[in-house]
Amino acid sequence: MNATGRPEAHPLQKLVVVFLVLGYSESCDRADEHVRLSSSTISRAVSLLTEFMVDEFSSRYLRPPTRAEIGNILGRNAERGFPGCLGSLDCSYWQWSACPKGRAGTYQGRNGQRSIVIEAICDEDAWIYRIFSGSPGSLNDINVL
Amino acid sequence: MSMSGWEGDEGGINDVTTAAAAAAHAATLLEWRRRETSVGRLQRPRYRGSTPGKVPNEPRNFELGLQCILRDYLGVDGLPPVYSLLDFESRFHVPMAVFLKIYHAIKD
Repeated sequence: MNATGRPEAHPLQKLVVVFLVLGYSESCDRADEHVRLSSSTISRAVSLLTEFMVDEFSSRYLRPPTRAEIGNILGRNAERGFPGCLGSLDCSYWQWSACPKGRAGTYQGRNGQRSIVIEAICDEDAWIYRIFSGSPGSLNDINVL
Repeated sequence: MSMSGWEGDEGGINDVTTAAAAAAHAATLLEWRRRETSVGRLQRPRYRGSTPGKVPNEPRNFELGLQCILRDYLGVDGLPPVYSLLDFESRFHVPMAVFLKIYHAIKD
């Protein structure tokens, strides 16, 4: 019950719904059937939760690595036989379905679709220390770097 | 590749300044976002909420939705959950541990 005496949705419902929308890009009025929330509630929950996540977790996770962490990574990679190695780099191609016609040549990916390159560097535990997206899909991994 | 490139006397200070700059940038972006949304709220016509002549909200059974989630993924009344942790992760693209962490952060 909320302040007006009407029944109120539980935060768990909204959280589940936000991850459905963000994770599988489900439309806002689709989850009504089993989570029982209206589409306006869901779209509001998505934007509020996104802001909350940035506020709450960015100071802890969205930051450059500390010197201790860099030393730790370098030490572990030296043990594995890669002295001086900071992490593993790879690129992924993300399809851009709404690419404008004029840019289609630039963003032409390797699979026949327009795409954007996402580049990430992570350590042994798959903690991502650098992420970059926005390069056109016609570039190979080596050009993005 | 030697480590002397980044390991200098000012290395520690650099880390701190970089972190501070990143935090300041994030704060600026958030502030912009808040300002934009607040301006949008002021300029938008006030058709929100209950207005005479509009269709009222459906009496959704919020309890039922909650019960479904609890039954499917967490287990309720001593019964095991219907779907496994792997199903949860593939459905929400988030492991259960991370999900619960975010949930508790919201509750607090």
